[in-house]
Amino acid sequence: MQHIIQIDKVEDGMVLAEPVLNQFSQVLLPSGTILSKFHVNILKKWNINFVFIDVQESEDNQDIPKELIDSCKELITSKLLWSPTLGIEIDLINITAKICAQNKLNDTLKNATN
Amino acid sequence: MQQIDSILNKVREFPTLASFFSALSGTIANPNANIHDVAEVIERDQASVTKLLKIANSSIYGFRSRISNVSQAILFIGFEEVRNILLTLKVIQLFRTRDSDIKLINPIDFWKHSIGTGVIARSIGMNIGIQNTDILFLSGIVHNIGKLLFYIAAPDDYENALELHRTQKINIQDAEREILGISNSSIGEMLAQKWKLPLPIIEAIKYYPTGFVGEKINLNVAIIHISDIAALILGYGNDGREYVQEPNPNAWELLHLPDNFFSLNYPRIQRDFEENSTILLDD
Repeated sequence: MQHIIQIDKVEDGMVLAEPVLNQFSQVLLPSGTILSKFHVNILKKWNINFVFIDVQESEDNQDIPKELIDSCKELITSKLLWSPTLGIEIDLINITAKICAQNKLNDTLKNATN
Repeated sequence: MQQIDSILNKVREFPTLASFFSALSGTIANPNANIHDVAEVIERDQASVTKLLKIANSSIYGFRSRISNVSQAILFIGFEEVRNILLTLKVIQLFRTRDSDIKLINPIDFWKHSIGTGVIARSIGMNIGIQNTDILFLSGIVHNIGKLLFYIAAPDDYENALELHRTQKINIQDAEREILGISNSSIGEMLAQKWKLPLPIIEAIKYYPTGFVGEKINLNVAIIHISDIAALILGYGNDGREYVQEPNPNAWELLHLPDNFFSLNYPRIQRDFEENSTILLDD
C-alpha cells in the first residue's frame, strides 16, 4: 500500500514508495529511502511538495493464529547455528515466521475451498 | 587432491568474458564515440537488450515503462549501471548453458538464492546511502558461483560436503574444505579473477562467508555477508544449505541498520525479488 502525503507530514523513518524525480526524470531520491529531517529539508529546497510513502498494513497479521506463527518460528530457529540476541536478528526471524505462517494459512484456505 | 585439479580444470574450461568487455571498452575508449555508438554495440545482442530494457523499466529505477531503447537506458540510469546489468545477464547466461550438468539441485532455485541475496544487498545499500547499488546487486548474484562450480565439476564430493554440513551442523565452507580441500569462496574467486570482474565483486566472492577481509571489514563484503544469510533465512531459493551460520557481529555493527530494517523493507524486497526472478530467469 502506498499513500501520497504532504512534505510537512513526513515523519522520521517513513519509506519512499516511489522515487523522487526532477523535471528531467532524473532520480533525486530512490524508492526505498528511509526519510529523515535531513531529506525533508532538501526536498523542500527542491520545491517537492508531495511524496509517495509506503504504508505498513498493520492489520494483516491479526488473522494469523499465534500458534501458527510460533510453530513457524520454532522451525526457523531449529535451523540456526546460533541463538539470536540482536534486535535486527530477532526482527528478521519474526518477519520470516509471519510470512511462513501467512503462507501456511493461505494453503489451508486454498485446500478448504477446493 | 585430485578433485581440486579437476575443479580447477573446469574453471580453466569456462569461457572468458573478454569479448563482452573488449567490445564495450573499445567503444568507450574511442573519444569520438557517443551514447548511440555504445548503444549500437550493446544492441548486437538482442536477447540481452530485451532483458536490459525490462530491468531498466522495473520498479527499482522508477521509470514506469518509459525506457524503450538502449540509448535511453544509458541516459536515464547511467552507463555503469547498464554495463553492470549486462554483466549480470552474461554471468547467468554462461552458467545456464551448464544447467543440464547440475543434478543435485534445481539451478533455478540456486539462482533465486543469488537474486534474493542481490535484492537484499541493494536494499541495505540504499538505506545506508550507497550510490552504486547495482554493484551490490551484481555481487549478490555472483557471490557463490564457487558452489555452482562444485555442483558442475564435483557433484559426488559436494553431496558429501552437504551431508557433513547437515549431520555435523557445521558451516558449509568448513565442510567444503574438509571434503574438497577448497572452499566455494576460493574457487569462486579464481573464476572472478579470470573473468576480470570489478574488485569489489571479487572481494565479495572471496570474503562473504565470514564478512572479514583479513582482520578488517569493508562495507561491500559486510553487506553481501549479511544478505546471503538473510536470503537463506527468508527462504529465497535454495543453494543446498540446511543450517544457517551466525552473522558476523562486526558486520551488523558496521552497517548500523535500524532494528526493524527487515520488517520495514520486506514488502519492497519481496517485490524486487519477484520482479527480478521473472526477468532474469524466464527464457
